[in-house]
Amino acid sequence: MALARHKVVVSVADDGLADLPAVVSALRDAGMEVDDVMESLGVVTGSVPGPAATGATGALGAVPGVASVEVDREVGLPPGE
Amino acid sequence: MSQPTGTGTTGRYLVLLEDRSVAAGAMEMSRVAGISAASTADRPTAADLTAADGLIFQDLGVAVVDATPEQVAQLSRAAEAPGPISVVEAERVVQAYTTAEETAAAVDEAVFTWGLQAVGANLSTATGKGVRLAVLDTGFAIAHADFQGRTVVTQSFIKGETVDDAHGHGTHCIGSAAGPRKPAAGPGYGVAHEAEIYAGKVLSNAGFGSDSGILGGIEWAVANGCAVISMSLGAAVRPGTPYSQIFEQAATRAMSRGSLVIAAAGNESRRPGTVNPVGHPANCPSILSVGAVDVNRAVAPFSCGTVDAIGQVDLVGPGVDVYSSWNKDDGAGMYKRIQGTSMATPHVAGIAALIAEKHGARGWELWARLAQSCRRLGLPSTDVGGGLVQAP
Repeated sequence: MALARHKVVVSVADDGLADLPAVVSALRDAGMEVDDVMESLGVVTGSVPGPAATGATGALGAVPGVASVEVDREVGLPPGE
Repeated sequence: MSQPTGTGTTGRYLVLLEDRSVAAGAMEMSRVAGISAASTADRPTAADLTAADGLIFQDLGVAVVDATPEQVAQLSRAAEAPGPISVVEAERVVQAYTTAEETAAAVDEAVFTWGLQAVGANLSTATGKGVRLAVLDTGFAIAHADFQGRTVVTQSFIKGETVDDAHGHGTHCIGSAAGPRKPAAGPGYGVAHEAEIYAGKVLSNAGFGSDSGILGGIEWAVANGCAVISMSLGAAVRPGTPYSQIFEQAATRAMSRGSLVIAAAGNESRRPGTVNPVGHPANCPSILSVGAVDVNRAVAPFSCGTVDAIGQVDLVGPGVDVYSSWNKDDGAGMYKRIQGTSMATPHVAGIAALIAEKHGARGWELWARLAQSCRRLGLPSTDVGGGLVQAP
């Protein structure tokens, strides 16, 4: 049975930007399914298996060259508009 | 007698008596004009007051009297001569100063919206020409007649939806930021009316999106060399919530590439009484956060405020009763009046494009020029930051 996945956003530290493909490869090895690599911003989006706030997210944070891992939140129009 | 100018007198008269001569003054009024006034010093009854020609306020040294024209002349002559009666005036009708009814738009919007006038866009020679301005929102009604002939580049970051704006919000924001000054009908409403428009659809037609889509939009705008990225979107946060490290880093990287990110502070306040914090991602230190004011330069009731040490309102723009382009004709042409910090944000983005054109400013220099040239409002900096954005 396929595990539920949750979407995450990962930022790459300045020292990881020089070899972004290597960081992306390491993120895949850590279980991340990569949707998009944003080279200008140094951001990688995608998903990891399992519910939010479990080990998978922590594993991404431990990848060399990663600065931050955050859950991909819903953002919308400000209320009343 | 010193006669008040204008209308609104009661028919009675005020008599000013010399200091420390109140008793003498009372006798003098009786002697010269036959006026018998009761004194507050004697604690007069209602019957006393009815019988008397007037009342002397002992502590003030002032009498209020009923007097015939002949008696007024007699009192006035006494006032001009030495003695205890010094001044006689007709008693005026006065009323409480009431706050004027908040009349909407005391500003004439025949030629330009109040927002364009409030930020001085109509007085600026800058047009935004040659500056790329991105609006990340619900898309754009590309067929809108007011934008034909303009440079418009689009991209959708919403799966299954084209950039076409079935909501209207994006088209409204693009109108304020970069719409025309001389549309076919109605007032001019666009700040940077010759800027190149980059319309990124990061919110669905229902008005929803996600962090990843918005970051995708920022990336696209940066890659396209947009000097200004306007984001009328966000998510509410509770007080004390840390800002997103990822958006902060993205904003600083965008800045280093010459792209300034500007975002709506949010609409969660309910003033007076409740002020809620600047939302995500406007609460990031390196994203310029925009609150809203109305036509009277008052903070909009909904405008989020500075609640935490980080996550401040940086400046404000026009965000109430804002007229701009709309995606469909609801009976008033393809235009609509709406409100929100979302409407203030594209005004600031448009001004940023004007400054970018005029001074060649990008990134942090552009932020500094926006902040430096704001009109101070005499309101708490926690609500309005540096004040109301102004055109160069």
